[in-house]
Amino acid sequence: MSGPAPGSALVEARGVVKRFGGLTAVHRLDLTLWEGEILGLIGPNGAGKTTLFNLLSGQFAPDSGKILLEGREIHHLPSHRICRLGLARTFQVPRPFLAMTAFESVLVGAQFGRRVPGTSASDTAERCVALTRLEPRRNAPVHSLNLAERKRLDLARALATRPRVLLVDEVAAGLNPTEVRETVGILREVHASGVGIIYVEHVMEAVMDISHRVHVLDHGATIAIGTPGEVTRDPAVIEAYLGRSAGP
Amino acid sequence: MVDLLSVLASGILVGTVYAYMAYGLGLIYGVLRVVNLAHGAFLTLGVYVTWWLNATFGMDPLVSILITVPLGFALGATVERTLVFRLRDSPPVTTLLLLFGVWLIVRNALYLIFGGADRSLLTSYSLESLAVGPLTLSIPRLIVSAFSLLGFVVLALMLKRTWSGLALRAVAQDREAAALSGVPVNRVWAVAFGIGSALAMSAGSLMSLFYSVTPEFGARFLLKSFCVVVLGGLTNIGGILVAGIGLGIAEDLTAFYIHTGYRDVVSFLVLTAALVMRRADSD
Repeated sequence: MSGPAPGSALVEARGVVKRFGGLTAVHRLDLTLWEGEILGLIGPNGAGKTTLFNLLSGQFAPDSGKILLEGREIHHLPSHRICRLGLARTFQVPRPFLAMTAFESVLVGAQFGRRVPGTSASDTAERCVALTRLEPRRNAPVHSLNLAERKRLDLARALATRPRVLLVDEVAAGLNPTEVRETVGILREVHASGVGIIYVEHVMEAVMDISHRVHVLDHGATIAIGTPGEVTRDPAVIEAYLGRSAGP
Repeated sequence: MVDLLSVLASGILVGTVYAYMAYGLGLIYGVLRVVNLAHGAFLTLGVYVTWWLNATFGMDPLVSILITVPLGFALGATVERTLVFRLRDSPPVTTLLLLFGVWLIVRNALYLIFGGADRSLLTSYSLESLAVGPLTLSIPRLIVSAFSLLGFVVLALMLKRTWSGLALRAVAQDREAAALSGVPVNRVWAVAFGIGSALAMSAGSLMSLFYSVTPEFGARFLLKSFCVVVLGGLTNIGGILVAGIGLGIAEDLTAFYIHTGYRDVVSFLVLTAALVMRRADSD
């Protein structure tokens, strides 16, 4: 494998299969995230989006197929090694360290994530707390944060690991429109700092607004890939997904 | 009145040691979700190593802590790396039985090497006491209690102020989220098991000053450790300290006002009551 070149793939899934008992959650899936890209990942419930995230971040091992991060095979590595190579994720339901302060939980990612020479863990943590607008709650115990704050904290913890690739799982779900806009703004800043993003989201407004390309899954397989404009016109997508949820 | 105060003071002194002795069990459970029945083995090894160093080299039990702490860490981390780690994905009862096996091996090895006779360790200060107002406090108990409190302070600072402490807390609170934040969970498990075992072995060093040395030492104090940990809230460092002191006082009150023979019944009763109340809480 050669190293990454400009415009090369940050993340590649090749023929990835994951079965749970008799159920095939992800079926021979190919997916690419290019350098400098925000890739939307959408599909109806049970399409395999979160399973794919679990595969990419090393929580599950694929039954077959390969996953590459900047050209390097990662599908056999434990989660913490994948994180240290530069892939971080957030959770659909935030999983904060409840007995820590907000700053301490960001510090976990900053200290144990990807090593970047010349940066200190506490500086990185401060920067991520600021980026996610959590300064006022910096020293608050995590259990006292509300949902929107916990989602931003989860994002801050992931960013503190200094990822090359960030997997964002439904960060807008359950937020009000103002909070959604604020979150999308944060993701734009993250992207502008050179991080590739794969973004799973049910809030169409958010994902269509920010994604360069959208990858649509249904029953664990790809049904469409294209720009937001292209996929929303794709009959297969309308049939599988948008047709069922679009309003009048 | 003086009687009562003496009993309370002695209970507090013993209770701090109980808390120190038990904390490793709570730490290992908190980080690994494993009930470490080998805790009894490490407690017993601690008293034997201390007794042997004293009998052979005349080493003071308090000095032998410098040996039992690193030795306990190395042994504990090794048990985790070579045995517990292999059963990571098995049901909890498997690990429980494995660690029970470790304890049985250690206990019977000690019978084989040293026989079953009770031994005791005597130092120049073993029988000394200090008069504080109307109270007479045993010097070994004061020293041991002070060491235990010091151990607690060091441990609390380690957990709060060091990177290892942060990693231990992260893994205890959410193992998967910790791994996804880059925390090397495997290594943290070994470290937690090492620290827990180091605490148990050094507790053995301290307790050799006033308990007899027998291969059954661990059986008696494993149960009390359980009692303290369940009562104090498993991983709650302050709660465990309070629970240890509470058990120490309850035991001494029972021994003094009812009968010495009932001393060890207290921990059984408290453990039973605590479990029943927890059960009621969760219903």
